[in-house]
Amino acid sequence: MPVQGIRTVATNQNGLGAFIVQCKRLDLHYCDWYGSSRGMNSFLTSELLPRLSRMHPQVSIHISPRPNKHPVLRAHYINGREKAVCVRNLEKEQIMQKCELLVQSQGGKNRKIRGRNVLSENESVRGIWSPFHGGIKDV
Amino acid sequence: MQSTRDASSGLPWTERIRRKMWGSDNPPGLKDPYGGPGYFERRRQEAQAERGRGQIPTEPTIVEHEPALPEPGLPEMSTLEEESAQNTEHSHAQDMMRSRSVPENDPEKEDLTYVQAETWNGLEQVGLSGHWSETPPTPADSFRPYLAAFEKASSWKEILSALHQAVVEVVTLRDSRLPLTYSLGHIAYKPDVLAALSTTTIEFDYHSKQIVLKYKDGGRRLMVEAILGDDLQRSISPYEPVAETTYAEVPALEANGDTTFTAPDQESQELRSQEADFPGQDIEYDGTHTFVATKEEMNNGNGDQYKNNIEDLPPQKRTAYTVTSADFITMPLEPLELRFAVIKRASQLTGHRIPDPLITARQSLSSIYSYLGRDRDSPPKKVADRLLIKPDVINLPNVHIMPRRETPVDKDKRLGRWKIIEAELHSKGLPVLGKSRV
Amino acid sequence: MKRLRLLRWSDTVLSPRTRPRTIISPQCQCRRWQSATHQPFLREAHSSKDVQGQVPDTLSEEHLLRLPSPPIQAASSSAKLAALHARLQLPSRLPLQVLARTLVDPSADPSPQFNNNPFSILGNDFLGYYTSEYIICRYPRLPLAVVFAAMYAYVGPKALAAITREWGVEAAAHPGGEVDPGYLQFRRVAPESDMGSKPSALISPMPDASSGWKRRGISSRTVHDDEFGDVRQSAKDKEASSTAIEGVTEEKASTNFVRALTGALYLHSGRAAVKSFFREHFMSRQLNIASLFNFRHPQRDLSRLCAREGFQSPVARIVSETGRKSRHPVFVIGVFSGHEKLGEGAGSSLDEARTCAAVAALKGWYLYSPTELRVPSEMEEPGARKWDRLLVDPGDIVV
Repeated sequence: MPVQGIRTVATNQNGLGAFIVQCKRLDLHYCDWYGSSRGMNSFLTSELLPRLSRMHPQVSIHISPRPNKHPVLRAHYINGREKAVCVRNLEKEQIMQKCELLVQSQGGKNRKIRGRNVLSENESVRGIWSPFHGGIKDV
Repeated sequence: MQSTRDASSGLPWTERIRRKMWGSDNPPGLKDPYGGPGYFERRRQEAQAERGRGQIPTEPTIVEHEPALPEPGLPEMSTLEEESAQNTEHSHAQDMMRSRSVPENDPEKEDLTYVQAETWNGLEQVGLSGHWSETPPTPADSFRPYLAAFEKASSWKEILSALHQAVVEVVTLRDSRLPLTYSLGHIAYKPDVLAALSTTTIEFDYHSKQIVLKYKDGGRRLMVEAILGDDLQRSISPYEPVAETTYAEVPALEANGDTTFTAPDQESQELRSQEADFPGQDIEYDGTHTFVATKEEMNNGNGDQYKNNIEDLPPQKRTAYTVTSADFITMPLEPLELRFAVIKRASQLTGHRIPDPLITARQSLSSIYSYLGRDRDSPPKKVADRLLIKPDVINLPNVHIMPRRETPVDKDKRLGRWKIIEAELHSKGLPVLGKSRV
Repeated sequence: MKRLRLLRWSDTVLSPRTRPRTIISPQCQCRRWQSATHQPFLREAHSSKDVQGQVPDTLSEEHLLRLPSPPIQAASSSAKLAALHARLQLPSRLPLQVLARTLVDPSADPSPQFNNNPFSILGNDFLGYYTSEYIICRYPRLPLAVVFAAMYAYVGPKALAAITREWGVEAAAHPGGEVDPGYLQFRRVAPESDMGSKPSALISPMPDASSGWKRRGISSRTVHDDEFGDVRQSAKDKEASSTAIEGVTEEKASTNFVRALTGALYLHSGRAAVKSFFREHFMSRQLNIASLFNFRHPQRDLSRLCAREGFQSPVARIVSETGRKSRHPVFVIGVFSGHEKLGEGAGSSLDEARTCAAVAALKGWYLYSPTELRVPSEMEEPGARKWDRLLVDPGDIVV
């Protein structure tokens, strides 16, 4: 029987072709009454919110009150995970920093990058050493 | 440390402590601090006294207060001793216990009229069976809020037209010699009346120092007709408590085909008596005549007293019109009763509660006007309201603003799941949101 | 190839209401609140009357519940949809309303004017065309079974479903007019319904027993079957299955969506946009073609191949060995055709090594790739170089 084909799925490497921003949704919750939400309220009514929205058009921003609770930023990622950051008592610039942090992040857990990791699908150019090639046996 | 002598006396320990605290055998104070025997006890004792048989020989009379504190070394000691002897033998506690006991074993002592009931038929019922919320409403339950009809006026146009309408209506009442306390309620003006209202100008007469209305042709008649109107649009004033209709006045009005609206005899007497001072100045509200019943209610007779509850009325739509000139705001409204009536009517029409100091602060309506519009130019307080006004936020394509808290139901609705959940719950007869009232 | 005059017959696909429109219109004053019951505090300039005039009665909740898919106006007010548009970096010539339409499966809304079926038919053709030409031009000698496997790996249903997930497209629980237009809307299959047999994990060139004399080899599948070598459902079977099972799987709906997006992109933005879209999202995906081969008898295949190509018959020789009598011998065997080594393989036994060598030789033959990759669709672009002929393998080996 001649060769058969095996059904698989081609894998994606984000950024090799098109880059998909991993944060798809950002929820901004505030409270009209709580004192800890003053910074968040001023963030929402200032020009920082339109700036955030324009800088990241790929992220859908949802603003809704959460009465009698601290203000919270909740980011939803494409891998299904969420990250929430409580922004109580922060100023609006700090809240902007937190928003940037969330939007630029991926959905995975925060990981420390150790060493110089090279991840590639391509084979090495010179090949992996083999004991059976290269004439070593001819001593 | 109790002596055996006290133990043998048969006194209750409360009495013993009481005596110890006071340090004497006859301490002052109420003999029975709980006010003596109870109602049933007293009735039984009275019945027994009436029958006059089988009395307990040493039954004491009901003494509210004990004798005063004995002075040391007084000849009253003898009487005290007698009483204390009585008390020691027959303490009130013992009496209570004895008198409480039902003399079941003595058939002669039983009340002949008394038959012990086995069921509850015919017995007097105390309290409600079931939940109080299930009882049908009584007239006392009907609540007519003062400012429920309208939404609060928010724009300058609405405020101005409400003030104008208030002044026109109340001054019309004054000119028609109706009491200023006449309840105007909600009057749905027909277009012609509304036109007349809007074209009525308010002027100040410097000679008599009064507000004077200048109607257009026939405007006054239309206004007064509308105020006292007999048409079906008129409802009972929701702002006054429902009093009994005094139908005596109604035929008087009906028979009177006069358009000058002579008030019924009762009122006209009052008015004439006080006309010298100022029409409508000191009208006393006697509570009998509060409104004029329409023909419908007449025919219904006693009908439904709750028919025109505020809940059954359709939501009122404010009829705001453009006022030609706002000069009347600065005109003085004298006397105080007129101003008060105007402000009260304005409060009804705008839906705002006007604080009392503003009524007497100035003679004109300017303070009222600025008070009613105090929030008009201020920025909205809620963040969502402020955001929904900004065009550079609304036009952002990837921003969604929700004015209220997002609930799981909202998420279900977005996903299209909610309608299925609701249909399933309905089919099973379960409450969709919250608890059902069983 | 003759250019498709798609604009001529695209009227049936493009309904009048989906004429290109810029996404952000400065004059658009539409308010965006989710519930129609709450009216926020409004100034006199934006009184409630004006707002009520702008929001038509068709957006009342009762009306929305009666619709099978969201109305057109909802597309401009959906933050999710706008975010998706930006995330995929779609050109602004593709309106939001069209993107919303591509998310509506035919099972959600049967009307072809409101679902993505017309787009997906066109998009499927484009995807199949571009993928197949890429695979064949890159590996001209690839056997057809592996070509089908590679097609399946790039644009098969599983791959498109994975792409949909990677794009951050979520599926709605149930279709309806009140659903946010940014969700993929389709009617789900009832649980425990018979979906029929799954496609096999291997694409075998052997014909079916029931196919008869017409379907002897694998080449006939390019004519009769679909782009993955699977048997197409006949019209009768389709009807029977559609009445039996109502709804589609999420995989099928995702497949339809991606194809529809491709088709809509072509219609609204042109060929260049589709090509770059394909290159960025499909062609850039990593696939090791060498892993798609499954050999049964590689030595036999190799000898047939050499016979066909006129090489000397292959001979396996030991290149080096060690530890023959030990527990872990290593034999390195080379397959030679004459003096030329076709392939080499290492193994623990002689047979294993020989098989490895034959496989390596065959892969070396099949995975030949010209240095310059040119695809026929290049010629559609202006200023294309003259087409140089590409020699594609005459066909599979007949064993």
